[in-house]
Amino acid sequence: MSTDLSITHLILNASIVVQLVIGLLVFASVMSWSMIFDRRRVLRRAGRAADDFENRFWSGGDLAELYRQLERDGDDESGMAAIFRAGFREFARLRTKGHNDPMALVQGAQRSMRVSLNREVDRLENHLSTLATVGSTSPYVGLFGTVWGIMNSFMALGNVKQATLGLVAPGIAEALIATAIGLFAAIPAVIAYNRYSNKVERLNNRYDDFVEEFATILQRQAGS
Amino acid sequence: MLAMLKRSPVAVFLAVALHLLIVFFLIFGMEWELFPQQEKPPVEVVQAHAVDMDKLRQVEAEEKAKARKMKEQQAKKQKRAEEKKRLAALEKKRKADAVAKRKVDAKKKAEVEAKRKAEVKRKAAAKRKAEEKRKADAIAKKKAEEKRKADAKRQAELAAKREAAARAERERALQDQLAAEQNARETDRYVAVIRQQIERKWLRPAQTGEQLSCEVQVRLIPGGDVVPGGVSIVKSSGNAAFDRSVEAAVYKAAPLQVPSGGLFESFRNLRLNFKPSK
Repeated sequence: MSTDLSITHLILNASIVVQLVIGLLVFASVMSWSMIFDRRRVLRRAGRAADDFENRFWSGGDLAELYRQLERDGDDESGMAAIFRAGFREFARLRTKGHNDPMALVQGAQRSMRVSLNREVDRLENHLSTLATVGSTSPYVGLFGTVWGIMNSFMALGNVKQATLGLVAPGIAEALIATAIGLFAAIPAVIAYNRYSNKVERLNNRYDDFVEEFATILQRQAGS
Repeated sequence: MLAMLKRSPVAVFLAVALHLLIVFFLIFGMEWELFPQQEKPPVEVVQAHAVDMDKLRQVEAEEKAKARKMKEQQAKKQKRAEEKKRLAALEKKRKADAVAKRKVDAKKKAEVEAKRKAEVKRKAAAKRKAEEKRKADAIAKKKAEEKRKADAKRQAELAAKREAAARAERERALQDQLAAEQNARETDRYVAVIRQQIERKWLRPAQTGEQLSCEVQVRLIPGGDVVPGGVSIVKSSGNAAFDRSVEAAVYKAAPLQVPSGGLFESFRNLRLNFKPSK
């Protein structure tokens, strides 16, 4: 019986199923961490962009001027700028087509802004569900690996006459590694999911508020 | 995952790097203890040969046999020397015995003479002793007689005393009984007075049969006042109006006439039975 109980040794000596489970869990962990880093970057950028845009929007300049500036900057704008552009474009288009009912103008602009807002929020929420899945399932996957490993270890135990701790312990230790890795993958995923879905929710609220505010401004302009 | 890699390679790279770092620490953290051990000079090894146990045992047996033989020879030599010594000692002893025997004979004669003298002395002493004993017995008898007489006298006295005490006790008991009877009579008198007092205030409800009866318990304080809420129906008559009327009557009759002093104690919790027939 080898006394080397280091983690590498245990993993290399584990049964195929346990190794597969461990591989799956490591993959899930890498994936969830990739998403964590990715979402972190995206959400931070979206928050900063919203701050910037709100500053520009409320600085009191002409809205048409702002729109033109945004068009010039390029079309990779996202977040609030995209919503603003969608709304303003629709408003301008309807107006040039000769619609003069302010209610209809504002409603059209609002509808197109809603669409843009949904698209933006969807972009932010992208992959968050994967995080949730990893967070909720990887403990079970790890547990499965552990149960399998312990089963094997006990089966081997049944074949010998004299059972010693040294005979069972490595098997159980190797099996428990699966649970450990499952938890290792799950805990950050759950934390990140909660944190990021909260952040997305707050951004969504900001966008919503912006849509309403912009609609009232458009209404004022349409009425004048 | 691939789409992810395409879209944000930095994030994937960071994640992979993180995991590699963790794995690195896991492996080297686990084997940290191994390095100092490897650097240590090898411990001195005890030289050992493989030994055939059978051969070893044979050699041992041979050695043992040799030792045993030598021991036996030595023991023989010693025995011979001892034998010689013993013979010499025996000779010496025989001579000594002869001398001793002569001495013993002389001693025996002397002892016989001494015994005879002692016998004579003993007889005389015994005679004297018997005489003395007879005298002592007579004295003891006389003393015992005296004692017996004194005891009888004392016992008679004790009996008389006891009798007197018993008589006094009986008298006292009788007196107590008399007092108790007196108390009971007094109590009965007071109870009758109280009953009268209550019945005077009692407004019997109409249409109550003769066979109704209810028992109330009244808690009183010295002076005859009823404790507020101290009237309770112990045994109801079965007619609520009747019970209530009795209760009201007790309250109305307060203060009741109760004795003062020690006699009051039996009135603290007074039980009264009421029947409408009276």
